[in-house]
Amino acid sequence: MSTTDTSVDDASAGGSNKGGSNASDPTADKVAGMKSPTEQSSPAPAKSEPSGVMRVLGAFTSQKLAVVLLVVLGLLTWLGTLAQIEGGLWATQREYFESWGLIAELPLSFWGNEFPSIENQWVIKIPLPGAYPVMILLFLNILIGGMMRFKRRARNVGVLITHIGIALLLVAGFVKLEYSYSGALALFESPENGVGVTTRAYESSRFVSFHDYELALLTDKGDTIEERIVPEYDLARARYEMVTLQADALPFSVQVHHFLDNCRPMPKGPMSRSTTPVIASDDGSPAVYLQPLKVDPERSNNSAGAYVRVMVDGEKHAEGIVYGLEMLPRERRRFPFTFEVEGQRYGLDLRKVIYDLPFALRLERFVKRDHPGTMTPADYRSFVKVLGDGPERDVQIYMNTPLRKDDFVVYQTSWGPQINGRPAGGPPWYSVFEVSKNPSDQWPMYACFVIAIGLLIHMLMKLIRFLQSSARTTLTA
Amino acid sequence: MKGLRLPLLMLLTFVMAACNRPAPRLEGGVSRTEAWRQETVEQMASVMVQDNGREKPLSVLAAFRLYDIHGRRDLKYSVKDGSDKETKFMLEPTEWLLDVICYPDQAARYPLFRIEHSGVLDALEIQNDGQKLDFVYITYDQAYKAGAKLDDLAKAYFNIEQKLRTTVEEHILELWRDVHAYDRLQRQFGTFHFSVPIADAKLQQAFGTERVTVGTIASHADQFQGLLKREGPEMKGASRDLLAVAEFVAGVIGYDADGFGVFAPTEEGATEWLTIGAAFERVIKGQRGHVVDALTSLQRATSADSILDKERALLQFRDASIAAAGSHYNTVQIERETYYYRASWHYQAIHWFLFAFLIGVVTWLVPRNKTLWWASMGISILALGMLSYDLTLRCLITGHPPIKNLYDTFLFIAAVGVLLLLCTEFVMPRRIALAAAPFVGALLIMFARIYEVSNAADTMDPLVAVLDSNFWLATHVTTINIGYAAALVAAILANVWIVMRVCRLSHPSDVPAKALVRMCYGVTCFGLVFAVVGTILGGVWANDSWGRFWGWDPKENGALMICLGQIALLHARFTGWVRDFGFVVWAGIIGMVTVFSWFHVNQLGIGLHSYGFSAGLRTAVWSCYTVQMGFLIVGTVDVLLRPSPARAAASDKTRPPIPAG
Repeated sequence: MSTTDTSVDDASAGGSNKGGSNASDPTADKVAGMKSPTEQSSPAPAKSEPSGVMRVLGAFTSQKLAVVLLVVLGLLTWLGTLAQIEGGLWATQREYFESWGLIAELPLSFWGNEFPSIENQWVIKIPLPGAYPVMILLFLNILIGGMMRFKRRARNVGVLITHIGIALLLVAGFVKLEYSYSGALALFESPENGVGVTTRAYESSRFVSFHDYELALLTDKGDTIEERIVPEYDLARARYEMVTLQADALPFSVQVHHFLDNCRPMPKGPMSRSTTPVIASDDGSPAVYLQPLKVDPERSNNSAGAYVRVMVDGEKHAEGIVYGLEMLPRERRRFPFTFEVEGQRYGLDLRKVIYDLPFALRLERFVKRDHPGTMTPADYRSFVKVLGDGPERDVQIYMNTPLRKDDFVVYQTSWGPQINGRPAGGPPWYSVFEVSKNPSDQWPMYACFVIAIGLLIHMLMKLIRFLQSSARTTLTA
Repeated sequence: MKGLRLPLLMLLTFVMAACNRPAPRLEGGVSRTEAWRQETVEQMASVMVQDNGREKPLSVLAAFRLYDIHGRRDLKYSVKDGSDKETKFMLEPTEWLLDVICYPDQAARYPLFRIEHSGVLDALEIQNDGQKLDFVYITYDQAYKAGAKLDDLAKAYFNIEQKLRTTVEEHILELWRDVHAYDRLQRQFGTFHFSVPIADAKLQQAFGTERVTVGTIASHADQFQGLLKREGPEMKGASRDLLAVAEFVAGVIGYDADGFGVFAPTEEGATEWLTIGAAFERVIKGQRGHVVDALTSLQRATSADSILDKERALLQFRDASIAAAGSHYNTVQIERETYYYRASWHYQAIHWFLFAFLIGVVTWLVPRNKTLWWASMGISILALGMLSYDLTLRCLITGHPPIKNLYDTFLFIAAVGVLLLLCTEFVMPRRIALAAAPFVGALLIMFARIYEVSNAADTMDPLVAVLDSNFWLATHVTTINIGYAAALVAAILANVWIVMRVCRLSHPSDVPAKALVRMCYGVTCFGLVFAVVGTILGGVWANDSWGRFWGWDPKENGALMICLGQIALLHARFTGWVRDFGFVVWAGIIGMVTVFSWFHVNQLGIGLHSYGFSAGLRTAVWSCYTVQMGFLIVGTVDVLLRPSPARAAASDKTRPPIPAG
């Protein structure tokens, strides 16, 4: 119980206070093992001015920049969490974490209540960069400052490994954001006698995006349907203006307008008023229009719709609406807007993006087991047959145990039919899977190992140094 | 000091008066004139029932029902005898439940439902005195009389969005839920208090009585079946009495449909236990054996006049129900859980922690006394052992790693926090961590007990499917909570530094203050390892269960904020942007972020980790923020008002310069 440990090696207590010199010089930026720009350009005299490139490089390597970025990212995370209460996850994620900049809002509250009143809550508006550029800068900072220009000394090996792990984690996040996609696949239990209802899906090698739409132009080829796809981002302007779609091989063009993110088709009655165009029918059925609805913060709760006009030789040939309500799994059928040009039958279908799987899944059986006497599921799992090029394979997919195959991952997410979490209608059950393709699927796990190893090495070395210096100090005293 | 005497005395008087609140009076006399024998209570405590998805001792069910309905661990009342002498009584949960079963009239007059706003009484037209005290209790009888009004109001308020409801509206909804919870409980055994008079001689002969009860029907089920068969399915020629009995039987079968399971299932592979009504239906349909004995014993327990006869019948019911459960009765588990709650090791640990804390404080006055140091350290280790044993028992009972829900986190973080501080004290024996360790332990266990009662949900309830993974519970959940514990410990040490500076107990350049910063730094480094690894492991788990590594879910964000805060702090220290004061302030802020991540995000009502809202937790969370902000503001003001040590040394020539390092 010595009281003389003021001379403990301060490097072990942070590295910055060696002999008190660095702590007294807040501008010193090299104590954690990082080469300063000046050191990098040696053997130039210490007093010489670094070049412009080195200054820029120095800025990227700066730990001070890292501190600022980390604090901004923390602030964004906090504000983004609070924003989810009103804005929902999807919209907040886009605004705070996937954007380049935003005006963040902090609603004031006191003791959990709106301040000063629920009707008139004060909101502080803070301009901030989005998490996306912040993380890019952080990655560059780690890459250049924390890895490339880092002093390669034995005592820094832990920090270096940790920085490599964090960089890998950020890369994994970037790859996930830019190159992954996911959606849902819902299958009914296969009937035991093999004879099923034709409109139900028991087996599929396709899955449907959660959020994104596409406009499919369908050409009736008799036995088959030929599809041409227009992705949603090509229709984005149709929210405000007319978008014309033209293909060289087709004798017509398609104009899309009044694209609505959430709407429902309504028959036009004598008393109803519409702010959107009304489509009259030639066959005597009621005129219809798309009624705009408030956009739900959770995008998957919305159903998009749009007006389409088929133009032949610059003249209006047909006009209708396309509506993106998801019909699966109850109905496989869809009801596209159809028309004929030069004797060929075509269809236009606004639908969630459909992705192909390199294998097919058939749901053999779905089992749900509740905790006794409750409606809380203890376990629910799907017994699935995987059909592909090779032999058929039986697998079980359940919580925390997805199927990983051919770079795709299939997760058990839900089941039905149910109303408010309670079974409705009885068997046959259908099972809902999430299907995801993410090239960086397992990278975070590898990063976790790397970071854990790096941190452990670094902290253990620090502890050992600290204990050794404490022992030395005690002996000296 | 003399000037403080009067306020201290007044405070003490106020606290004592508040603690000595008179027990509410039981009006209308008592039916049970003697106390339950301890032996009976203990025996009945280990009767096995199934509730909310798991088998548990009756005592546990009684305890959590009482927490839920009454908001306390015990029920107090007083009785005035003929000579105007008032006698106080205190019932343990099992005793209260036995009263509900055997003395429902008396139980219905217990002061049970806590009313914290006189507006609730006014709305229900219950006579009141304008609520002189800060809360009062009303009885089930009173609530029952106001039942129609209560139902109407609850229906109306239920349709109002929660955040727009007034305090009175919220309380009325809460009361409605509590009254219905009690109603369900007393209905469970209520059928034993009903009887059907029969005048039909044939029926009297068949049942051997002039009044038919659940017990008599169960014990004469063959005769009753014979009577029914004789009348045929249409029962056109049945006597009025037989029809009345048949109607009574149908009523009993459905009377407690939403109650807890009392009898183990007899079918192969079945897991759902039977309520009394469901078991009675099986008996009517031909099942015999121990279930019949259990039903008739319960009938005797509810019908007998003397408490001794009731107790005897209750013990017979216990034996019969255990025999009926057969292999479903897991003696080891039930006795272990009964013991767990009876021994309550974590509660005992509080006392030892407080004792160790006091000794730790005394060591500040006599710093050279090693005996006291070892005494405080030894007692803390002893209390930590008790807490660890408590956690171990919980693991054995549930079959899962130590953390399964929010309640578990309190105990686990308390244990890790104490361990961390004791280790810190061993490494840097400054007597600060020595006193802080038991203080943190006692405080967090007390929070756990408050949360247990206010949340009123069995803390060992089974897990939902996604959480039912011992691998991830043992890795991610444990790791991240160690990270929480370290961050909180660092914040507490930071607060101690601020207090020492503000109270001039130590100069910032003095050895103890420097040592505190170093402890804070070491604990932050330790916490960072676990926070980072725990957060990433959580992402890996989410990738296996929800299909994405990171979803910006509030709980994930909370964990990330802790990591970002700690990494930024360490880098800021490297760069020299923060020194001692900056470091402790930053550590204090990370403490608040930890509270945000630990509790607050669960109450935002969004995300995959939300567990619902509790007003008690909201108060706790905002109290933590307020206290921590108080420390930071006071510390900052002190730093602004008092020059830094370096400047003070430069300006004050009379003071010797502070040595570097």
